[in-house]
Amino acid sequence: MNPIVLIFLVFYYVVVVAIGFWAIKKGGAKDLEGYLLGGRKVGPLVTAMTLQSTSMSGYMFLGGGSAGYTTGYWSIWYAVGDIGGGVVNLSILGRRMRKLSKILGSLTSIEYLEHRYPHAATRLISGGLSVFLLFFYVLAQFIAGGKGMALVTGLPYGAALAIAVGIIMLYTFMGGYFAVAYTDFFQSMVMVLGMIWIFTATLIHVGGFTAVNEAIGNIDPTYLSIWGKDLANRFAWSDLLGAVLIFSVGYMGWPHVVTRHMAMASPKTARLAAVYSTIWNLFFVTAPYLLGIFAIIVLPNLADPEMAIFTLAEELLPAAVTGIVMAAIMAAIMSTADSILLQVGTIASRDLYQRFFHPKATDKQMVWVSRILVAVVGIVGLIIAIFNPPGVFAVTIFTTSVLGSAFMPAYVCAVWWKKANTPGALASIIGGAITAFLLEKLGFTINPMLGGLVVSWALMIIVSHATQKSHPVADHIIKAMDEAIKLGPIPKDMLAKSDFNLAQEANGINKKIDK
Amino acid sequence: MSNEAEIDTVKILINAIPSEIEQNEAMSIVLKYSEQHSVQVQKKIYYPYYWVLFSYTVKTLFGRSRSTKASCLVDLINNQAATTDKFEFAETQVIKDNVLEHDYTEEQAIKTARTYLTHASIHNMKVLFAPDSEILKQSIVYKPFWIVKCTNRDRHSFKVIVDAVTGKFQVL
Repeated sequence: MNPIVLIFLVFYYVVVVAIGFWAIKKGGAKDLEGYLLGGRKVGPLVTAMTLQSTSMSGYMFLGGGSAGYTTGYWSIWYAVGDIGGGVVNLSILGRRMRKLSKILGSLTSIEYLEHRYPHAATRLISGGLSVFLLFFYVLAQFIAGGKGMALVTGLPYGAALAIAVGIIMLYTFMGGYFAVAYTDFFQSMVMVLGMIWIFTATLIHVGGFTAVNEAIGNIDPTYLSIWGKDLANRFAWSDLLGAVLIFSVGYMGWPHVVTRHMAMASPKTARLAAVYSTIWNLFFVTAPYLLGIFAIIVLPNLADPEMAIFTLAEELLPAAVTGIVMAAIMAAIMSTADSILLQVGTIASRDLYQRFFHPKATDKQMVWVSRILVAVVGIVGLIIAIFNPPGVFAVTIFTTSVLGSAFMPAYVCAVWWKKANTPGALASIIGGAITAFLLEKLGFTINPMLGGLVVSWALMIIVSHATQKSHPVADHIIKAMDEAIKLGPIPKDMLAKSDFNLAQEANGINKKIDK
Repeated sequence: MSNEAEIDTVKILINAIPSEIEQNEAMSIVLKYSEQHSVQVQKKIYYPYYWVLFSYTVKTLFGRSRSTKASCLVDLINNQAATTDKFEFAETQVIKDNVLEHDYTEEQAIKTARTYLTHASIHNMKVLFAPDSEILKQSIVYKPFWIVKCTNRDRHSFKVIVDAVTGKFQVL
């Protein structure tokens, strides 16, 4: 381990901690209040950057690089879906979901599902499934953090993992470390610069795209094929479609991603966010896969493909820069783990514990339930990550496939299809999840994401139609959907400039007028 | 006939946030985005909220934060909370018929406000602690809205509410 790397890594953390300390102690109550209110004092560009950078998780740095390193240009199919994923999500769900969740008064995405598809089973199944699957996503972050920490400190993987998980648990419990917009922004700036630096340095090192492609062609020309190394996925259209779908529509099943739609300020924000996220994705989504491909030349004998990007940074960047960039990458991984853990805690406490076991639970009791569950997830995750760590790429793809298959039709139909009812949604959620899970575990030739989505959509449509008479969609939901869709002779510009925050008052006034 | 007119103009005293947007301004705001429509202000209504001013602190890695104030408004028709900027209100005499009745009680509203504050604290500040909070002030307050009707050449119409404090609007 180069001591300069370690010194600059520590230096980076000291700066971040100092900014956090200043902001929370000296920065004034106004800033704290602004952050509590949802960061509304932070401009749209800063907000977009912070949001995008926090979505840069262990998958990007370990999974993406590993996919590029092991399969070559086939891996770019995953990036293709991801580039347009933000726009697809915002276009399909964005404005309508924001308004509908506001009108229905939903604080969490699981609560929103129950309000739209009213039945206790909706919340029980959706909440349980989300907690179970998000655990695996947290596990991927633990493994990524452990591997990164091992490389930076030179400690054995087990010890490095314990430290990484310990730090994640500490700030999830104690809070505040990444809580302030300034530290988030500082970290995202470092990550942006770091990623550009690693990419540029590697591209220069390999002599540009033409040179790298020629060199890879000399090693094994099938790396350059769109079907993957050794043409392993030749004419496997199901896998190709599944790879594109996974991050283009799969995100619509993620509770923490869907929650962001519920917090959007206005249609204008949605449009701006879509533009920013597409620009961001063009570079940052493809870069990890391309770095993995470059690493085939630079690091031909890499024992662990998931270490491709970390090792490239260590090999090609000046020691001081490596220290800072590695710290920023670690911070990104830990910040993602922290967010997911909080999401898991909220679903467990609000959507399961309070809803089914203790309706009169106080806020403090619910926070305790969150803490206990977060501790259990941390301990179990640590044990699995030490003794039987799965690949970060495989875990992320599995989690996204099952979550996407389970929830994507339910979220989309919630705002687009008035006939989508509770039995249809439940059949879709259960059927989609089981299908994707079985296709993944039993190794059928049909891609789990594709198969899961087909079954989930089919069940939503067939069961909803079959049960329209016995389970009609309630009037108040139809009215809320009309309110969210706002059909009629209303000028488009007027709808675009309407304030989302007044949707609930509009609904309240409509209720009174109806009376 | 005279009785009906009397009922329509019965006045009551409420705590209301003062209007910043007058009737003509509300019409202009709506007209700006619906030039092909004829626009008519129907009435000014008062929407009920429960206002709670909290003082709260949160624990963080850097110790306990400074005591901060959070102003929360709970919509008394939908029982939904949101944090809000500082605002003033004063006793105002208004026509009773223009005041919307509330559907939720003070107790329910305070519970909703506290839950919202905890939720916002955990998710926006990433602090897995319920904030320590105490109520400094509380009251039922009403916010004025203009209801504006827009009609196009085909006589199709729709209504818009204009927030008489901020000038922001939403289609009804």
